[in-house]
Amino acid sequence: MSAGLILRYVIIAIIYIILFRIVRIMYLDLKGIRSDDERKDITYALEVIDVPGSIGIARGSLYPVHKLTSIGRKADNSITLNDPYVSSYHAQIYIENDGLFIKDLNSTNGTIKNGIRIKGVERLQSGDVIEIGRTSFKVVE
Amino acid sequence: MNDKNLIRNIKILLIFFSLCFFSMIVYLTYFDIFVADKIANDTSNQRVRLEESKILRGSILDRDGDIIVYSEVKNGKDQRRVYKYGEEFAHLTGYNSYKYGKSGIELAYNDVLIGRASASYDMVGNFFKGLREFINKDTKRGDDVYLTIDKNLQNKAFNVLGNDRGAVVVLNPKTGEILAMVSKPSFNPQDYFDDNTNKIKVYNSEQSGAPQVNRAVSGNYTPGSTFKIITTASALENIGNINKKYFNCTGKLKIGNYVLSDAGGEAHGRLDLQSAFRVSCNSTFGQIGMELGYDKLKNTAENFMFNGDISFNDEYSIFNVREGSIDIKDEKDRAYLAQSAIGQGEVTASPLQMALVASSIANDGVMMKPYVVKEIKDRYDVSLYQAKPEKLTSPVSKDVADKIKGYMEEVVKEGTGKNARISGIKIAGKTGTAEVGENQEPHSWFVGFAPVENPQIAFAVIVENGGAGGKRAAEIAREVMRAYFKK
Amino acid sequence: MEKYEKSILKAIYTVTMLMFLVLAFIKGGFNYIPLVLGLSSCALIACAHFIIKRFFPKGDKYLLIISAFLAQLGLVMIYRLDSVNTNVAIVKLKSVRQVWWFTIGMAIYILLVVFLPEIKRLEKVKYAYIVAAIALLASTLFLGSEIKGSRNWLNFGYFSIQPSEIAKLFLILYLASAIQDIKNAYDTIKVAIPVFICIMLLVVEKDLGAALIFFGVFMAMLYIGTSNKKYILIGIACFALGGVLSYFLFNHVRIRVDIWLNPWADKSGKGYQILQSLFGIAAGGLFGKGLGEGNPYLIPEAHTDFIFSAISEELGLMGAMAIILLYLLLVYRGLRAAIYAKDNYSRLVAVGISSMIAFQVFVIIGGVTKMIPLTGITLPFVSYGGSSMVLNFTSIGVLQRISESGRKYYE
Repeated sequence: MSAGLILRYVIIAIIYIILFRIVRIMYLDLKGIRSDDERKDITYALEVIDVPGSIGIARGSLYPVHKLTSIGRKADNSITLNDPYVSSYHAQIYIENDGLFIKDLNSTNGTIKNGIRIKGVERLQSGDVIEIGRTSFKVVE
Repeated sequence: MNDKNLIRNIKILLIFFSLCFFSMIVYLTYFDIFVADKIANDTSNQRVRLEESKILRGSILDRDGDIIVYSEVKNGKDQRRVYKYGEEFAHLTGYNSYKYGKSGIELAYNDVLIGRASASYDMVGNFFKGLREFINKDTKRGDDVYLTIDKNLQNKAFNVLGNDRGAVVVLNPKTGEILAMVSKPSFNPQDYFDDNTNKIKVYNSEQSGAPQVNRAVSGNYTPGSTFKIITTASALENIGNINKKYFNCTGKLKIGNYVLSDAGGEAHGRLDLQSAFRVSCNSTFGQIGMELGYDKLKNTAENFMFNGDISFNDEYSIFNVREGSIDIKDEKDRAYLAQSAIGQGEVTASPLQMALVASSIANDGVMMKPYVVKEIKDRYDVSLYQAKPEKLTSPVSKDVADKIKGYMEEVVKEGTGKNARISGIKIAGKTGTAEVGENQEPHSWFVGFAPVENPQIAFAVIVENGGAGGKRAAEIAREVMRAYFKK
Repeated sequence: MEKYEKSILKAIYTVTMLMFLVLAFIKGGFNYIPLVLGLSSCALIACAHFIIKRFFPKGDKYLLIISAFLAQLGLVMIYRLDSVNTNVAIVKLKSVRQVWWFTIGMAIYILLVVFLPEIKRLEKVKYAYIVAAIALLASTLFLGSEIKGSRNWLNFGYFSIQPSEIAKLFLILYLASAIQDIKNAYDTIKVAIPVFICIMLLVVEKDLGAALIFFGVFMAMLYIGTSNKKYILIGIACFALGGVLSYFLFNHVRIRVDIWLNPWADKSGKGYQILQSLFGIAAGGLFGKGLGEGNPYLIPEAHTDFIFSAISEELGLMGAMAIILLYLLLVYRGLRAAIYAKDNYSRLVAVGISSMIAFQVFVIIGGVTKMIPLTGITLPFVSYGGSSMVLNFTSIGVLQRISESGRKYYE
């Protein structure tokens, strides 16, 4: 009888321990989201400065870069370039520690920054010009 | 659909759902604190029955320990509640039914009867009781309620009232213990426990005269001449030389267009207060009332707890007490005032109220709080609660009480209450004949106490449509007193 | 993070086994069935968690953990209710069946996570969904059988299914696509018409709970999809108007509202269910009577619609609150998946599923506690029943898949 009574409280206590643990993790997670938001205050965008008509994007259009922008020929990229000179997953542009970086994903024809083909990861600055296949982007802030 | 907007909207949605969910938690908390206890004892909640069936319900006994209601286990499982005296104690014990609910002691003392209240009386004792039950392997049993009622007196009062509608209240004027309390018509609580639908249909029918109503405490009667006790008290207190005053009775008292007449139009001639009280002279008391005025009469009545709040000296309140009321429609109207002074018109009282009036005269002007539960004992005869007499109020001084005592003694000795006489005992009383309508017999009242020199019981008897108070009601009072004094 | 996950899972296993252990001794003697139930359900969760962690480490584990925990609590209560009937064959015990449904639900969940294509691809056949949803709802009108006063079951001999459960998911898949195309009020009406048809069908079939959920899900998705508060206000106005109209048009709607306002008027008839439910909750108090100590079997339909009242009786207000909070966390997790989803279609699907769960919980818990009028629906994951178990784990599977592909962005 009394053992049952104690168990009654033990059971409820454990249920709450589980709840609090879950809540705690979610709280940490929520803090993560918030800091993401803060970082978003510095936003970069890619402006299309030169593009052939067949590729499917318009000259002058702006692509905001949030966390990670992927560029490639496949439809599930953030920016899809319908261009045979572009690889399926060509390059990624991402923000890390408030800096903007570009990474070439071993594309066949390479990624050109300010006229020089990049190797691996390079930092981007506002005003840099990137060429991917037949399309040119300018980094704007 | 841009990202910032979207995240904001999703956050709003999340806040909305959080509000919904927290409102559920708040509602549930509210429900548990404020609603749960109120609904839990509803008759359609089978848990009540299941919980209570685990514990053998305690008994209800009279003041000497004679069992009135008890529970037994039938065929090893179900409990049966047995009401040994059925109708006789119905308004005290009430009934206990899973279908119709509970009433009376069964309702008010439910927690005691199922043993739930024991811990609140004696925490340590309750622990040892549990231990003892465990060691003895006794099945759990609730506590017993001992009433202040005297079983034999109750039985006598019930029987002498016969088939008449009415009520009898007998109490100890020194303590407030109620020794007998009968209301007729009555019902048998057993019918409710056994779910005897035919009988219950009869109880609820128009013709049966509301048997569930306890007329002794809730009856709303015109007190008639018994109210003259209060008018007399008021006169003794407020009119200086009232004892030396003489009144002239012609059998009729003209007040403007209204005529107050005496019983049978009898003219009592020249008389003083004592003789007027003895013969219950309406003309005299009408005159006294007019002399007193509304405020003084009302004030004295309120000292006797009219328009008041009669609280019982019990652990839990059992009765729906209806206090007497005095309320004159037009304070300037002297006819109303004269009527009130003789207990007619806008004056009403319950039998309990009038018994308390008589008891205050008997107890030197002190009104004790009435009560019906004397003691609570657990199954091993350990006393958990014992009632202690408590004073309710002092409506009149000892001097005034003593004077009225003498007047009331005269009423029985030589006046309207001769029928209540018992040889060898000095009895004080006052009759009342309450007019209730053109074509109906009046209600018959008798209130009083005995023995005069050392009052042990005070009482009020009313017989609905019983005729003159000096007859039916006085006879019933006599029989009840005979039973009490074994004469 | 992973360490935490493990400790949470361990705590869940502990409390589940503890509860089943209490139930094993409930009748004085010792019964092995609850232990088998406990062990098998814990093994099931461990297995699912292992697979998800091993092959899809990036997805949200808490969707699985919370929903599985809720299912565990439900299973405990269903066995508790089973324990009253001693002479039922083991395979016919509701709790044993529920373990099977749990297993099937988990299996579907894992299969969905593994094999479901990108959610966006589901968008292609959007009109098929709404046609299917309406067809499913209409089917019960002609072929359905009436159970518990609602004509919302399809009977297939050995088992019966509740088409409205499946229709809910189809509706979400349709709306997620259709709402994106909304540019003006005219488009909104075009989208709303099929939803309206669904709701009307449900009202006619006396499945008012589902009708409420359909409406709620539609509103939530419309708001997220268009960010236009006007639509919501108009929607609520329409809902109020429709509510009043159906109160006067349909007898069954009127009865529900009247019972809600005064259940005491017909204690042993129409008000019986809700009053027994309230008695159960009232008996529980703060900490409950304790498992096996109360009388939850007195509550009608205690293992399905009224399981919340049964839990409240034995685990008390604290247990009930824990369940509500668990649902809130689950809904939060679903909406979080929506935020991180990579395309709008997935987003709206995630919003739809999360709000479906939220509304369902609110409607049934509010109903059994007499906070709002009672409409009979199941409590997701907790209530006994195959249709709802399978559908709910399917929904969680879809959410999991969305969180899976969404998270890639952050690596």
